[in-house]
Amino acid sequence: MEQEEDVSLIKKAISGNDDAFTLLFQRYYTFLYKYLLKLTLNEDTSSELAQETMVKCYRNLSSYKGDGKFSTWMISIASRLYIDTIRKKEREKKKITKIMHTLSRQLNWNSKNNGMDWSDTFTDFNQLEVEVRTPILLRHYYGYTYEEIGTMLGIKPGTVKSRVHNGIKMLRKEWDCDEHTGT
Amino acid sequence: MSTQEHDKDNVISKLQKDWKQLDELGTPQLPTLETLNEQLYAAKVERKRAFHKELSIFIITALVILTALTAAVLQAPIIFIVMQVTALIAAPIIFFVLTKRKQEGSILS
Repeated sequence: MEQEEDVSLIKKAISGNDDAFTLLFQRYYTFLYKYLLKLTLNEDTSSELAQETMVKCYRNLSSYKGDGKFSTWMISIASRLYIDTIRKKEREKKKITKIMHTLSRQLNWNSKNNGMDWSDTFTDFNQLEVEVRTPILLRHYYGYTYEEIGTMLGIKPGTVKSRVHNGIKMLRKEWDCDEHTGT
Repeated sequence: MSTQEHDKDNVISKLQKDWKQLDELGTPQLPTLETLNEQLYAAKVERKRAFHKELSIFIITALVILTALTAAVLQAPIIFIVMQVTALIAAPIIFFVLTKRKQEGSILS
């Protein structure tokens, strides 16, 4: 039902109805923002990326065939956009300093107020390469298959599988170390 | 269940718990349709501006090249002819060398 409505809105948007597009985008905004927040750990960056994703979706709307969920197509665009942004930043910094991904001050403050704790595994996960973090998140939180993630990120399913496997392996090693050192 | 599998499950469940926490924390303020329409309009204007800039650069470059060629024809026709003849001979040679190098590269890779 919801997908049928989406398709109807997409058809209207392709024929030039901008209101239909913004309505469609607004429907999935929270989903997109929360996905980006898990990658960026920063509210402002997530909002900026969400806005860029909207523009990119608008430009490429005619390439959406309607065979998958609109939300999947949207986070696929957002993922590629985020990966490109990180690569660009890393190129600019040229290995001088590794970009650390930590919770923004605001999120840290909010989580402390809500009595939330973050595991060391989560901290380690956020230091992984963006090419590893993204498929792990898509696989183990959003439940996409390796094939779907491959299509979303434009890589082979085998590559996705090995990145997820190796990423988890690295986290497991860190976890083992922490367990042994008693931290 | 092996220890490895157990550790893997532990890692994943810890991550899932923290991602869920992040979901609870990060509920955004939903942008209004007006805001989204404004953002879309701004992006369109920006794209149009970038297109005009690129088009202007293209036209100016083309005009500079055309002017230089016309000047060469009118002011120094011999130099122009020499340039044309040299290009006529050099172009196929450069093309041949580049194609050969490309083929060698593809065999190696």
